[in-house]
Amino acid sequence: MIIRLITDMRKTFVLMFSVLLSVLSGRAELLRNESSSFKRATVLIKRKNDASIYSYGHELRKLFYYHQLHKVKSAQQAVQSSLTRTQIAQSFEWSEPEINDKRLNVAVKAINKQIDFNNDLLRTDRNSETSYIVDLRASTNSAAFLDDEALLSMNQKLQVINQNSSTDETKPACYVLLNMFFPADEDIQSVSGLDKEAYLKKYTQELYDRSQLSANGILLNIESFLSIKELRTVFDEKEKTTKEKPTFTLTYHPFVGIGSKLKDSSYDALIEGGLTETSKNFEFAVQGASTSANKPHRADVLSAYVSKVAQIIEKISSGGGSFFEDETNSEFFVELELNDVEKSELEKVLAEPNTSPSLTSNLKDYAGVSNFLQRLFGNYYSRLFSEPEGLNLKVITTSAYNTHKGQNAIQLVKEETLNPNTLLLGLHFLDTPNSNSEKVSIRFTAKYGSQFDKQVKEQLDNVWEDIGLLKWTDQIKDIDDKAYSDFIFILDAASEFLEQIRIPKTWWDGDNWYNLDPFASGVINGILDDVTGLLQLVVLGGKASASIAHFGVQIRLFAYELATNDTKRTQVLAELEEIKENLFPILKNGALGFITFFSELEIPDTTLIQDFQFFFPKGLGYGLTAEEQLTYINNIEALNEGDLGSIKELVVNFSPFVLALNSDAEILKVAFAFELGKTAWEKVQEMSAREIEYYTGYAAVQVALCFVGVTEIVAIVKGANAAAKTFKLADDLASGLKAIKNSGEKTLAGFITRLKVFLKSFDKTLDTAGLSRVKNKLKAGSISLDEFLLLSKSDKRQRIKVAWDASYPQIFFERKLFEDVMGHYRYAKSSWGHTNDIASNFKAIDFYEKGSVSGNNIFTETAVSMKTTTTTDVSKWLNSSAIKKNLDNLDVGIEAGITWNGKTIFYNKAEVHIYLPKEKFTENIKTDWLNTLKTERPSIQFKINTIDEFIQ
Amino acid sequence: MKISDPWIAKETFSNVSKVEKKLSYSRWIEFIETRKDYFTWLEDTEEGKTTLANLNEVPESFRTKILKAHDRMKALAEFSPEKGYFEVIVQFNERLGVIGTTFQKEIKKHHLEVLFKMAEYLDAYVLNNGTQIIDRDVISGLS
Repeated sequence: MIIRLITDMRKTFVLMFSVLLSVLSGRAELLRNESSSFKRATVLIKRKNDASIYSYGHELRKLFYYHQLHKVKSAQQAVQSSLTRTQIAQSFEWSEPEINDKRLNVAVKAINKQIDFNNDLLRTDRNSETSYIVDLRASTNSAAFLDDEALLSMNQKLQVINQNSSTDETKPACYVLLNMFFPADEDIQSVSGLDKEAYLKKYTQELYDRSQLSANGILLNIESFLSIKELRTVFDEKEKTTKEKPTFTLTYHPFVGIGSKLKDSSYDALIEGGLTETSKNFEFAVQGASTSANKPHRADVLSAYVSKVAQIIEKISSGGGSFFEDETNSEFFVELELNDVEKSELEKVLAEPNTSPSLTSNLKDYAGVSNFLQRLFGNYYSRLFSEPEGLNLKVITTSAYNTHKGQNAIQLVKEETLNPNTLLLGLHFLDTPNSNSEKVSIRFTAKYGSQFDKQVKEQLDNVWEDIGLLKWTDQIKDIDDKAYSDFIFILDAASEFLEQIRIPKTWWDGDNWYNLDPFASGVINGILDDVTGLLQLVVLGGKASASIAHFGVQIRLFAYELATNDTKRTQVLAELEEIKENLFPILKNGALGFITFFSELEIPDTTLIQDFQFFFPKGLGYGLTAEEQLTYINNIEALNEGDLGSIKELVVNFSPFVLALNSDAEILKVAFAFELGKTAWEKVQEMSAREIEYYTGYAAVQVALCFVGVTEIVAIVKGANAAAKTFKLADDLASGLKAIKNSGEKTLAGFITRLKVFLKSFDKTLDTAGLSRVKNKLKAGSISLDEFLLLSKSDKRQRIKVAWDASYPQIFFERKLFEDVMGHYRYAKSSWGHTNDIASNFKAIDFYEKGSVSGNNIFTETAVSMKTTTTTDVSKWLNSSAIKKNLDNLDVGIEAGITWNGKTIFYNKAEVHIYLPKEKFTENIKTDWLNTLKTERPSIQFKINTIDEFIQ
Repeated sequence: MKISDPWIAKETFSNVSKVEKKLSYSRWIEFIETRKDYFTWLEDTEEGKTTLANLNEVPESFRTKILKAHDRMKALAEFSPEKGYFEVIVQFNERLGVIGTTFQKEIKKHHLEVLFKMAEYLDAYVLNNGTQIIDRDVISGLS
């Protein structure tokens, strides 16, 4: 029972992960090639040390501007503009590579030869069970992908497909080519960066097109890994300059080509869906591999991939039906808002049978909507139909009520044979507007004659988008209809809403007493801009990568709630207003201006943590073991508010953590911090617009994630009722803001909000690879003991002061410095043992007086635990769970010692040495503390000092 | 709930030195004796035997303590041949009347099961950080 449960959970895990990845991954996209319905799924697998919030944010930003630029260009402007959308797109995409033709032809020949061979087999034995599959791997190096059983099963399915097909008897209808010849390394070695992807794409495309596969084969190219090194310009936070930084990207390019005779739009979606899922599973496996000690071999991943393809084939075969040759068209979906005239007009024509449809050579208006079309296309209408520049426009319309022999416009378009210069549009009006609806929904398709080259098609597709058409993608289908159909409205409303809550210039520009800090205002507005940008990104729909689209969907749902739910909107607006009115003046006027936002986010699944870590490798928990993270979180929790609020630097941190209870059931917590330090206020004069943009962009993604609520992303893409979740989403936002506001009011110094949720999940192990990197990153802000010792005495004191002032996360490294410094001055190794030399996490004891050693036993008179704190309140200190634990352990060890890593320290006396900052230390405090501690912990001796006393 | 090195005690405590109801030492011994399939007394381990054999190397001020510690005070389990030490240590403290644990590995269901049985036998609780009672509900979801 338990085993079954776990299996199910694992499945869910895989599913959740795959869904999540598509939401969050930088780019997981499906590209469509019009000539042979060629699909390509690319999954970018970023190695741990390069993916960063910056690049992700940058990605969004890029697309955002791309879109913005696109948006201002109407169809007319695009032509006039010196910079076409394609050109803009190219600057983000790939250049066309030169393919090594010779090598390609060799590969084509080999494939064809193999196919011919298989054909021969089929001629002699029509029921041959193995000849539908061409496994190049098996024939080249005898390492077949499929085991016999899988091969047999897959072949049987292919057989069904072939039997159902009406193609030439002499040739099978469907082949599967597993694996392929890949471009030789030397061919792509010289190709740099992302161009390699383009090379692969083109190579595979060419290979496919030139071989027999393009007619009736399925190509599965699955062993296609590519690692790319490129220099990326990053902004260095410390030095305030940009730097070139190498990034490494491992990409995987599973290609699937579907032969022209096998094309059927219903299978398209199936294959596309299967591929997407497979790619994600692949990424999951890779992710799993990187965090597991037993890395699954690539082959494991690939066989998983193949089995997925087998599933697709199975689905195709069980679906039955025959294949037909046809151009598969892009399909769009549009919701148009109607004015009263349009509404009454359409209401009439769409609700009545159209007994004598207008059927001209250009317009087959079965739906009877020609007047409406004229309105829709405006001036274009007559121009288009007058065949400008040799264009022949044809339109077919149908409606739910008026089809043609039971076929709708989409189906009718498919059946039409086109002249080279013909552009055929099919519009199928889905429903009839009525008193309750101000909109009409139209399914829409465009089919192009052969004269239209790819670029023109793209431009025209953009035109459809420009007039408000969206590609009807699978992802969008998953979303609640209502949420989707109101999309345009939502978008506008949400943008408007965000515009409303921007901090107006008059609030910060001028000498008025009420003026806010310009930088703070800029940050807030920057965030709002970015959120708006994300909203607008949604418009890209299918144009954006699937992941961006998914992400956009979430923003859309959020926006939907804001736009449609008056109560929520009012609530959220009010909260934001209050923040603006109350909090920012506090921050501005407070001597210690800063924002500290420490939050722990509800995470329903470990997968999400992996995603966070994947995209936010700067997160401090990343790379730490669960144990270390526990310590870390405990430390953060042990800090008092003063510590949390003492941030002095401009820092934006995103710090995911995982808390592992055990390998079977976990308690998870993702914590993240969003901080803007005091210097943010001071540095406003020094910062360029670009720098501010960088910081706000960085923050915006975090904030957006926070606002949207990652839990909702998970739930929504799982396909549950979206409306209920958007509601919760807005609730979360409202309560989150409320929490920020409340704590902001409570603590003059800033605000800390904590949303604590623990959730159970399962198996999760973190690798420790990133540990030293994380530590180094943090250490960069600190100094080593050696460096410290070189300082003059006064500089040392100054440095100690700096270290005391540090906030988390640096605080842990500064406190480590204290330990090192004391380890040098007070607990010198000449007379003290350091448990650090046994294990960095030795239980309870830090230092011990040198005594005698016998075997694994250490005998010391005095064992010392060193504690640093900025709090002057002894009861607060005692109540901290980290301190309590430490004292309990010290106490209980007095009798039988403390054992760690097999070594036992036996001690007769337990001492705790507490260090306070010099500025806070007084004799009164010392006496007060010692009295309390003596009563509270009678078996432990306490000493209270400052670090400075020991510095020489 | 995050569980680390659970305690066994008759009452929850925010300060181990303030625990009033003490555990019974004899019941502790009885329990470990019934679970010799799992636990090994420190004095029966190679390490313990060596320590006792080399008692002359132990400073005099520690001898009583060492003898006491090697007299059914510490029960160890789950020896790791790679690491060369026991990863689970359960330690009775007569003065404080509690049992402390040290897990140098993830705490699993079977660990907690043992602790529950021990606690039941001693008429006590399994406590997380001394303050939180861990009951069987916690582990019902674990494997």
